[in-house]
Amino acid sequence: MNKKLITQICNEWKSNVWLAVELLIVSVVMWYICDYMYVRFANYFDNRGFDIEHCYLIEIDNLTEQSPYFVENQTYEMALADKEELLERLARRPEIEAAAYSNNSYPYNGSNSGISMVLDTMYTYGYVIRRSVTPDYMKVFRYEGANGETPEQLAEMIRRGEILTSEELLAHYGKNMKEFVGQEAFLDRDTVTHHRIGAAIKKVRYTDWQDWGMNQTIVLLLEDLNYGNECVVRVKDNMDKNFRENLMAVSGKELRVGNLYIRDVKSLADLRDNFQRSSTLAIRNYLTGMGFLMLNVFLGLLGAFWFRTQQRVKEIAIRKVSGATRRSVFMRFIGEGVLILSVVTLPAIALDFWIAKSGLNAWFNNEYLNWDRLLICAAVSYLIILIMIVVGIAIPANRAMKTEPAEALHDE
Amino acid sequence: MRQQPVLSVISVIGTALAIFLIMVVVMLNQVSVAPFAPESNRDRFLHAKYGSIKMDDGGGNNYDSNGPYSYKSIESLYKNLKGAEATTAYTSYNISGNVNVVGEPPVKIDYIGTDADFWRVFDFTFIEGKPYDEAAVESGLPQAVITRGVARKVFGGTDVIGREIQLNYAPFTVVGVVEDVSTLATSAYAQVWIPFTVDHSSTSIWNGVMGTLSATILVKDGVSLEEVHEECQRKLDAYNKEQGPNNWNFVSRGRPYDQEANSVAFSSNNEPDVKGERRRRLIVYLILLIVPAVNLSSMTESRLRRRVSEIGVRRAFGSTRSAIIRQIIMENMAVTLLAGMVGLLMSVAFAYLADAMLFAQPFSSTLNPPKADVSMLLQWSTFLWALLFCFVLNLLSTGIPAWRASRTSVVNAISGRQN
Repeated sequence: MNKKLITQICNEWKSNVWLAVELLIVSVVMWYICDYMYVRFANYFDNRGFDIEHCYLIEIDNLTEQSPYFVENQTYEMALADKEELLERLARRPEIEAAAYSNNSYPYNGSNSGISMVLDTMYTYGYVIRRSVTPDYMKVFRYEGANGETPEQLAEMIRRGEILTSEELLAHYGKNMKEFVGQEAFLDRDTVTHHRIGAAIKKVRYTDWQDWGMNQTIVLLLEDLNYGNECVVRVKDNMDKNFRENLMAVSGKELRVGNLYIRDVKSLADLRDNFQRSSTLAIRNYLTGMGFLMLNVFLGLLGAFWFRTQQRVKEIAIRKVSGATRRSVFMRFIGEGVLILSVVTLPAIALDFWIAKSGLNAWFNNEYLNWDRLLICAAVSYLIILIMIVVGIAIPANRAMKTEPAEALHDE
Repeated sequence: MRQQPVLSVISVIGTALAIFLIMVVVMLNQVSVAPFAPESNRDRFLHAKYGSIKMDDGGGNNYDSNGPYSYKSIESLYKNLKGAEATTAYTSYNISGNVNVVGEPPVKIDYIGTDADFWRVFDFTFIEGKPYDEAAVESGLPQAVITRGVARKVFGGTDVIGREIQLNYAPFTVVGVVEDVSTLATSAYAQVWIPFTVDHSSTSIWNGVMGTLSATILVKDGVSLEEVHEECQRKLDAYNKEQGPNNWNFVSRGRPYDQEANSVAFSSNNEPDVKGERRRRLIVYLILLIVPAVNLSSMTESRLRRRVSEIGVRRAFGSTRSAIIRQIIMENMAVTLLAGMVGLLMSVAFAYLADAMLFAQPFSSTLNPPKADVSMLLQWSTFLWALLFCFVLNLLSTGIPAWRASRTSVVNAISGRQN
C-alpha cells in the first residue's frame, strides 16, 4: 500500500513539488513563530515579584505662578511638609490601602536609576536598578521576600533604613543573597556608609514578555521626599470602582496642598499596556502571520486536491467497487499530504537549526539554539500544519467519494 | 473562469487575502511616514526628538546622557537655518492635565507647550480664532489653542474665543480652536497647546543644555534634506566650541532624522536602524507574496491543464509562445486586479474600523487610542503599492505555469497530453 502511495506521489510529482516547496517555507516560518511564542510565553508565566492589580500612579505637580492659588516664596521645608501632608491625606482615604512616594521605581516605568553594591570583595555585575521608596511602597506592590517575608515586614525594614536586594544579585559568584541577610554592604562608590541588608527579595521583573537582564534591583529608603517624583497607591480590592473619577472629582478641594495638586491618576494596568506595546504588537503580528499561513496551506491543499480528486473520481470508484472502504480511500488521500509534509520536515528542521545557530531567532535562557526547544517548536508547527492538511484534503476527498461508482464509471 | 468555479473562487480568495494582509502591513508603515494634516509636510521634516551629550571631565572620567533639549540648545542647534522655512520647539512628550471652567468637574486632556513657529511647521485647521504669536510666547501669556473635542466637552460648543479655561488650576484664554488631531501625528498631537514659556515642565533645564523640548525643522521647498543636515552639523560643532572641551558636548548620532528614521528611533542613545527595519519589512512582504504565489501557481497550473488543447489549437494557427504567455498572464492579471481591489477595500475597511487596535503606538506618551481616517489610509502611494504587489503576485503565480504551458508541443497539446 505504501509503495503504491509513493508511486502515486511520483506520478503527480509536478504539482507535488509545488506543494512540497510551499510546505517547506511554511514549516520554517511556522517554526520561527512557534519559537518566538514559546519564549514570550515562558517569560510571561514566570514569577513577576510584584502585584499591580488595584494599583494607581498619582501624578502630582506644582501650581504655576499664574494660578490664583499659587503660594509664593515657599521654602524647601514648606514644600517638604506639603508633600508629607498630601501623602497622609491620600493614605487616610477609606478606599486607599497603602500610599507611597518613590523615585524611578514603579513597575513598567522605563525611567531607571542605576546603583552598584560592594559586599566584602564581591561586586554587582551589570545593570542594577535603584529603587528609592518610602516604606509603604512594599505594601503597594506587594513585593515578596525570598524567605517568605511579607510586604509588611519588608516595609518595616525599609523604615529602619535597611536595604533589600534581589536574590540573584551575586549569582555570578554562585551565591544567593539569602546567605548575606544581616550583613553590611557599600553602595555605589561610597566606602564610608554601611547599609545593612534587611532581606533578599524575589526577582522583580522589568517587563512581562522579555528578559532584558534588567531584573536586578536594590530597594532603599527615599530619604528626601522632594526627590519622590512618583506617588503610587493600592486601592482596597472591593473599592476599585471608578477610583480615578472619584479621586479627580474631589482632588481640587481635598487634595490640593500648598502648591501641590493632582494632575492625573493612571492605572498601572494602563501604564503596563502602554509600556509593553511593542511586545504585544509583535506578538499580535506574528499570530496574524501564523493565521495567514495556516489559511494559505488550507486553501492551497483545497485547490490542489480539488482538481486531483476530480480527476480520480474513476479511480475512487474502481477502488470502492473492489471493496475499499470509505475510510481506506480517505486515508489514502490524507496519507499523500502527510507523507509530503513529513518528507519536507527534515530539511525544514535543518533550516531551523541553521537559523538558531546563526542566532536569528528568539533569545531565551542565554541561548538561541536549544535542541529541546527547537524540537518541541518543530513538533508543534508540524501538528498545526497537519491539521490544515487534513481539513484541506478532507473536503474535496469527501465530495469525490460521494459520487456513486456506477455514475463515475458509466462512460467506460 | 466560469468553467471552474471552485478553483476560481479559491484563487480570488487567496489573492484577495494576500493583498489584504500586505496592504495592512503597508498601512501600518504608512501612518508613520505618509503625509496627513497637521503633518502634511512629512517629506520635508527633519526631527530632533532627543539629543545626546557627553563630557570628558579632564580627569579621565567620561559621562554621557540622552534626552530632550533645552530651548537654548534648540535655538543654537536647529533654529535660523538657511535651508529651513521654520523650526519649532515643543514639549517632547504629552503631559496629562485637567481643564475646566471654574466650578465644573475637570476634563482629562493631553497638552504640550510650544513656540510660535509650531503653527508654521504643522498645518492645523483652525475652526475658530488663530494661534498665539511670538509676542505671546516671549512674554509668557497664558493663552491656549484647544481642539474641537475639548471645546465641546468643556464649553458645549466651539464658539469660545476669548473665554477662560482653567488648565491645572491656572487660568488661560482660548485664542484658537482646531480640528481634533490623531495620536498618529506623533509630533503635532495634543488636545491643548500653550506657549511653552508658561509651563514650568517645559522650561525645566538639566545639565545646562538639556530640558524637555524636541525640535522639528520644516525644510524649504527645493532644498535637499542633506543640505540642511550638513548645516545642522556645522551648527553643532560651533555650539560645542562655545561650551568648551571639558563641558557637556553634543553628539549628533545622525540627527536630525527624517520622518522615516524618526519613526523607528525609539531610544535616545542609539541611532535608528532604518536599513534593518526596511530589511525586516521586505522579508515580511516576501513571505506574504511567495507563499500565496506558490499556492496560486499550483492552481493556475491545474486550470491550464484543462486548456492545453486550446493552447495547442492556437499554436497550430501560428500564435507565438510569447503571445500565449502574454495572453495567459493578462487573463490572470484581470483576476488578480479584481481580487486585489477586493483585498485593498477589505484592508482599508479593516484599518478604519480597527484603528485603535491596529495602530496602537509603542512608547506613546498618551494613553488615548489612535484614530485613523480614510484620508490617511488612502494615499496615491497606497494604490501604487497595491498595484505593484498585484503585478508581482500575478507574475510569480502565473509566470512559470504559463511558460510551461506555452512549451507544450502542438501535437501533444491537441491530443491532451502534456509535454
